[in-house]
Formats: sequence, structure tokens, C-alpha cells
Amino acid sequence: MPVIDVREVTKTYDTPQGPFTALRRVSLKTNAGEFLAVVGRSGSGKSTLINMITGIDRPTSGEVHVAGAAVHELDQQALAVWRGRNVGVVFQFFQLLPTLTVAENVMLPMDFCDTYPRAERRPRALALLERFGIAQQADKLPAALSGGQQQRAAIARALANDPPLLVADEPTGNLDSSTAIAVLELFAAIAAEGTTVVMVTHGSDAAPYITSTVELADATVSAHV
Amino acid sequence: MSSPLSERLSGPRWRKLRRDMALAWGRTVMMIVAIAAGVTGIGAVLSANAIASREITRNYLGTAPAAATLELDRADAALAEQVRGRPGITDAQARATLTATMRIGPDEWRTLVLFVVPDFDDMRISTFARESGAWPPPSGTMLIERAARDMVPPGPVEVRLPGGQSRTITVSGTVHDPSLAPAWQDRAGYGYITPQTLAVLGGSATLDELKIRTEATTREGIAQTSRELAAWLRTQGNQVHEIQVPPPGQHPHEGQMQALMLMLLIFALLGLMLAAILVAAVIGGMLVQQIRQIGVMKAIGARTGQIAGLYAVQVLLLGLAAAAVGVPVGTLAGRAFADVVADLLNLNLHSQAVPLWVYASQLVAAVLVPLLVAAVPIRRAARLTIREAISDYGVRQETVSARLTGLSRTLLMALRNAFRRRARLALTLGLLSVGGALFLAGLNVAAAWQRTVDDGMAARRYDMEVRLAAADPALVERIRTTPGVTRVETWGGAPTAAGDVVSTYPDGGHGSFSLRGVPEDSRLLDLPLTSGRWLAPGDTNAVVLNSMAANPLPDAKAGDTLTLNLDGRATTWHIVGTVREIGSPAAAYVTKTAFEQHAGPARDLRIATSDTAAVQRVLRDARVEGSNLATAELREAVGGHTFVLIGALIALAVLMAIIGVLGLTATTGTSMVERTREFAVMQAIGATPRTVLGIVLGETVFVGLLSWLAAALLALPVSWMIGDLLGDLAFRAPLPLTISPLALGLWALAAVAGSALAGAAPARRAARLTIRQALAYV
Repeated sequence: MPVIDVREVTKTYDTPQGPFTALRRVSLKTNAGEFLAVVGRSGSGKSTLINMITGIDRPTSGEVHVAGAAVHELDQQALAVWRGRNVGVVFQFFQLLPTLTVAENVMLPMDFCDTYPRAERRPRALALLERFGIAQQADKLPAALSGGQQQRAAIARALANDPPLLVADEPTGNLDSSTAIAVLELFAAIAAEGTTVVMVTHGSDAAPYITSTVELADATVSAHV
Repeated sequence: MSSPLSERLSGPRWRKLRRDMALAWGRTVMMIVAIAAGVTGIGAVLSANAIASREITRNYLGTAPAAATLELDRADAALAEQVRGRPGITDAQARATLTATMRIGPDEWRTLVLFVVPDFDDMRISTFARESGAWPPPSGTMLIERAARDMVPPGPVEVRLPGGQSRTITVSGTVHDPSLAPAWQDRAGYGYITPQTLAVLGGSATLDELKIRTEATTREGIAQTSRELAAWLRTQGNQVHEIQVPPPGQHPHEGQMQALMLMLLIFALLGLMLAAILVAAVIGGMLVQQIRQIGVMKAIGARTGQIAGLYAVQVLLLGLAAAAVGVPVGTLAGRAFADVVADLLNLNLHSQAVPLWVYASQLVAAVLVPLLVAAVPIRRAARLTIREAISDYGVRQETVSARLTGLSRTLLMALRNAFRRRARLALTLGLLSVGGALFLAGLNVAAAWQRTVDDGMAARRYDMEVRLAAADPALVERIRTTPGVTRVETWGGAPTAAGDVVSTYPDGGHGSFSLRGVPEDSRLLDLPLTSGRWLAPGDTNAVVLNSMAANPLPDAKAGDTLTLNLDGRATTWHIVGTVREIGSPAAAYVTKTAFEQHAGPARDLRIATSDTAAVQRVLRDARVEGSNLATAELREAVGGHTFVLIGALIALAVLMAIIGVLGLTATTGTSMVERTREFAVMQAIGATPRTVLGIVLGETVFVGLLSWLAAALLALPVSWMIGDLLGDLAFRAPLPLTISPLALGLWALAAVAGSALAGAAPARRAARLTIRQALAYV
């Protein structure tokens, strides 16, 4: 059973200039453990597709099934609960909360979703940070970390609730090339452990790590390899 | 070992909350101060009101005030003994009260109300407490009420009884009589003497009042018992001139105190509302700053309720911190204010205990009001979708100011910035405008009050009132030819009642109602008509009622027929008009001719003069049997009654202004923090720190000027409403809508200067940041 099953999704926005279709009858299936890259030019619909998969936005038509849930049918409350347990999100600009330490940032999803007993949350956060090589930064505020370290912390946070799906929107866009490669290696390792990773990217540096690619052009899937 | 609650509150989201509050400590402190100020205001007013209301009643009832006083030809202990056995009467004692005058300067006399007590050791009704001096006061001496100490010269004092000559007696001590309006407020002295001293003063030692206490406790019940007693007294051959039943259990100034407290409470509530709006504004600003963080928290699993709960707890904590400061300060302020009120009303405070409900109200006000007001921006922020939260929002495509042209670039940017966030602009403007409107309204009402008193005094075109024991045409002629005198008129004056019972208090002034006979060609009175017409020559049963007559005659209007009691006789009149009169008890004006037909010869003089001392000398030389009251004295008395109220209004007006400016500071500060990056970008492309400062100052001063305009407009209905309420409570007539130019000027200054100051600090800070620092700002 695929982790992601997008069926004939169309998304149209109303704009002052008239209706704008960001996705047109897009379909996509991704299995567990895949590392999928979503590529395409700016405005091709990459972020919109990611928003459909994470339930951040709703399709105008079509169906979105992710991790066994019909995401397009869930209300906001149910979506929040579902997303917290099933999807880890990594942003381009890391988006760590500036007044929480790195460990606290990682503990936050567990706190919101109540997924692990209180006593287990910090050890788990530290274990994730250890895995990504930044355990010694655990009690520092994000501002004290480099960009690469912040992105690793953000990935740790995304995995805090052990979701079956990790979604990253241009996670290497703000990193230098060597740090970006380290992050890609991390994603590959995570996928290898069975977590589906979906990554929006502009560059071709990810090619050696990914297992499949979806290319979007003019709101449709132009290639899926 | 941690408790589950403390464990729960140690979670990362609560740590975020604590650190966010600590990081923005300036705003956190300001919000706490603003709510604490509102809570202090509420607490102070409620505490003071609770203490003062309890103590005024306790003091007043502690004197065992007479339920009714019957004015007779004569009264004595034997009659009182008989009356005690009558149905419905629980006690009775004979007394006498005279309105005399005392000399307080070479040619200056003041009213002295003398209470004649036959037995100082057996007072059961209308009692007073000894404070100093011999008890009872020896013959030829008098005790004075303690609040009259500053008014009565020490040592021998010259006293003149109505119809008598002046004699000298000595002030031998003081008493405390909290049943009376304070002497200093009413510009009258209160003396307590024995019948022997009354004889020394040349008065008759005969007592003429019967003070009674009744089983009935309502005014109607007391009046009925008194009527029945009066009927019985008449059957026993006594003449009953008047039955006085003041409002039962109510101090003469209780209404004034309650009006003051009501006014203060309204302002305190508005102050709290302003503080709450300020909190909502700051929280709203903070939420705008944290929108991305909210989006991220939602993206990693936070539910709407969790986000809302997080920020609601922040407001709750602010409220609790404000309560921790505001409740004790409010209680202390309330106790201090109760002390002031007690001093003003001549009360002893037996207890300063504040009831529990006052503390509870403060706590609710501190926690609930900000929470309710902040619920709007919290709900809005918490319900944003992740997409809305993570993308920029809130900046409109086009603003009104975008269409402005022909202005300097800096000024244009300032104006456009002001309109960037319309909701924020509306909130800032609202805060500053409401604060300003209340400031203006406070001063407008104070000005309206002063204008009312001035107009009221100007309507009396005389400078002295002299009450003669008997008509004296020769004396009138002598006064007329005294240098400085421009006109003398003889008026009629007699106590009256709408029924057979009057509401007069023992001092003879509060609650009184009189019939006044005005000469048809009078040029000394020009009261503004509020309905109908003024008296015309030839009117024989026409009556014009003044504002305060609405107290005994609440439903009377022009066209009605009215029965007035004159010395026990019912007389019928036709109401032809009503007039606005300030500083006078209830009065019914009739022509002098009509007055003399019903109440005997007119013997009150109204004198217009530029030299009251010269007239005083004529009166003294003539050894005139009468008392006099200068209009200036009356003005002082009216001022004495109200200066506390006006002072409190002005103090509250200033408080409102401070909260308004604080609000502007808060919202400006938030706006500056939000735009730090923008300033950095501006500097990166060539703007100087001076340009940035100019833009921010231009923006805040523009908001200040807008708020001035809005406050000036909003102040009109607020001034009108407060003036209507206060005027009715004080004069039974609304205060005229008055705009104080001084207040407008002051607020313009405060709004512009406050705005400039509010913008200057954050703008300087923003301008000082290096471009690198500013761009890194989260």
C-alpha cells in the first residue's frame, strides 16, 4: 500500500487577475522508504503539491491519501492531529523557534501530540540529535548554531514523533554545498530505514541520493522516474 | 518530586511562553502596569465606596437621628413624655434649633445654626459626641461642631439671634456631629448650647421642636405616624407648623458621595477597558510577530486549541501578575481615599475593612477582562491555517495613502506606513482617542460645572440676601442710599411643602423647600426658563418652580395645579413655568403680591451693591434683627460641595490620558520591532538614521494628530452624557455642553508630544542597529 496516493488532484486559486490553476489533474503514488524529489521551475506547482500531501492546503478536486488517511476529507482539527503523528516537515529556513533550545525544539512535537511519555521526551530528543551529530548543541538556542546544524536540528524535530512521512521544502536551498550534501545523506539514510521522504528541490545535487523524481511543469506532472 | 501540573507546565511550549515574555520584558511590564493601573482604579473606588458607604451609615445612624421633627409653638419634657406613649412612637425629646449669625470679621457675619439641648446627659435622639470642653457647656458658652473649628474664631464670639441683638459668648469646646453636612462645606457654623445660654443670647428659653423616633422605617410610614401625631397634638391645643421627615437613615451628603463614587467607578471601568484594549493591542502585535512561529507549531502538530491556550495563558499570567500588584495597591488607595471622604464628610472611620467581594471583583477584572478582550486577536491568530501563517499576510495591495502625491518622500512613507496595518492603526487610534476623549470630557465637564455655577450666580443679580425679623421700609431706604448700592428689593420667603410633610434636615437647609415672592418689577433675578413662562404682573396663583423643586415634586410640570402647604394651610397654585436655578434648595416663585396674600408681609431683602461692607455697617448700626448671606458666600458653599468631584474628574482625566499615551507607545513599539528588517533594508539602500527617525516620527505624530481630532469629536457625546448625569444628581438640571479650549490645547500638546516620545525611543533604537544586526532580527 503506497504511503502517498494522490489521485487526479486539481488546485485552483482565485486571484484578482482571475482563477489560477496551480495543479491540474496530478496523480502520484509513493511507497514506504522512497526518497522522492519534486522538481520543476518556480511556479510549476511544487509547493502546492507538497501542501496537498501535508494537508496544509486542500485540493479543488481529486483525492489525497497519505499514511492511510483520506487527507482531503479531514477537518482542520483532525488534520492537525493526523499531521502531528504522520508527517514531519522541514522548512528551507529551518524555522526553529528562537526562544527554545535545540532539544526543546525537538521535544515540542512530542509535547503537542503527546506521543511519548514526558519522561521519555528529552532522552528521545537527545538521541535524535546524537544521531545527526549535534547532541553537544542540545541546550543552545538556535541562533548559536550554524545553518547546517540548524537544518539537522529541524530534521530531528521533524522525526520527533517518528512519522512515516518526512516532507522537506527546499531543505538545502539555504546551505552551502558540503552541508547540503550532508543533509541529503541524512535524508537518504532516513529513507533507507523505511520513512518516506519527499523533497522539493531546484538543484540536481540530490540525484545520487533519491530513489524517484517527479517533475512538474505548467501545473502537471511532466515526468515521473 | 514534581507534581503532574508542574511537570505539565515545564513542557517546551510553556518554556517558550516564559521566555517570550521575558524576552519582551518591556512590553510585558507595560501590560502588567496597564492592567494593574486599571485594577488599582477599580479597587480604589470599590474599596473606598464600600468603606465610606458602610461608615457614613454607621456614623449617621450612630447619632440616633430623629425620624421626624415637628415644629411647634412650644415643646417640653412633659409633652415629650406624653408623645412617647402615642402609637407608633418609640421615643421623643424636646429641642430647639435657631439660625443665628456670628461675626467672623469686622464687617463679616456667617450663618450659625444653634442646637438647643435641655439635657446634655440625657440625649437619646439626634445625639452628638463630646470631643473637648466642659459637658454640658456652662451658661454663656457653646460647643461647636469640630468641622467648624476653622470657621469660628477662638475665644469670645459675637452671636446675633433672629430678632435679637448681638451678644458675646465663648466657645468652650467641640463635639462631633456626623449627622450634619460638614460645616466647612456649607459655610455655616454649628453651635450646641443649653437653654440658659440661649437666654444669655437674648432668646426665649422655650423649646419648640419635638424630635421623634418611630416604629415605621420608611419615609411614608414615618410621615403617616407624624401626621397622626400632629393631629393629636393639635387636639391638645398645640400648633404644628411643620413636619420634617428627611430621607430615613440617609446622611444629607450621601447622594453627593454616591454620585462621586458612581462617577469615579465609571471612569475606573473605562480605565480598565482601556488597559484591556492596550493588552489586546500588544498581544495582537506580538501575535503578528509570531505568525510564522504559529505556522511552524501547527506544521509540527499543534492544534488550534493548543495555540490559543498558549497565548490565553500568557494573558492569564499577565492578569494574575497585575492583580498581585493592583489588588494591594488598590486596597491601600481605597483606604486612603476613604480617609479623604471621611474627612470631607466629617466622619469617623470605625473600620477600614474591605469586603471580600471587592477583592474578588478586582481579581475578576484583572484576569477576565483582558482575557475577554485579547480573545479576539488570539482566536484570529490561532485559527490561521499553516499556509496563511507561513506566507506573509496583512499588507494590503493598496492603501488610501498610496494615492497621496505631491508630498516629500519621507512624509509620504510616514503616511503610508501609518495606513499599512489598518487594524493596528484603528486600535492605536481607538486607544489614544478614547483616552483623549475621556481626558477632554473630564475637563469639559469641569468647565461645564464652573460655567453652570457662574451662570447660576450671574442669574442672581444681587450681592446680599438679608432676612429681616419684620418689614422695615426705613431701613430699606437707608440701604438704598448707601454708597455702592444700586438696587434693593423686598422679597417674600417662607418654608413650604408639597404636602403636609417636608424633607428638611435638622440644619434647615438640606432638603428644604421654600416659597419666594418676587416683586413684579424685579430686576435682580434672571433665571433661564426651561419650560412655560416667568411670572407676570397680576398673577395671583401662578407659580414657577426651580430645578431642585423636582425633588419634592418629581412629576410637576407647567400647566399642572399644585397644592403647597404654608404654615399648616393648604394653598392652591397653577404652575406656569420652570426655571433653571443653581445653588438654591427647592423653591417655588410667586409674585410678591400673591406671596403677601398667602404668607404675610415680605421681609427678605435682595441687595445689589459693589460694597457689601458698607451695607453690613448700615445693618450693624441699625442693629437690624436679621441674618444675611452674601452671594459670594453661596458661591463658596456650592464650590465646597463639588470641588472634590471636579478634582477627582480632573485626576481621572489625566489617568485616562496616560493610559492612552501608553497604548500608543505599546503599539508604536510593536510596529517598530516588526519593521526592523525594513529599516535595515532602507539603510542598506542609502537611507540615513535621520531619515528613519523622520519616517517614524512623522508616522506617530500623524497618528497623534488624527487621534486628537477623533478625541475632540468623541468627547462631545461623552461630555454631554456625564454632564447630564452629574447635573441631574447635583442640580436636577443637566450641565450645558461645554468645550474647554484649554483641554483641547492640552490634549493636542499631549497627543503630539506623547506620540513623538512614543516613536522616538524605538525609532532611535532601530536607527542605531547595524544593517547586519537588523537583517538578522527574528
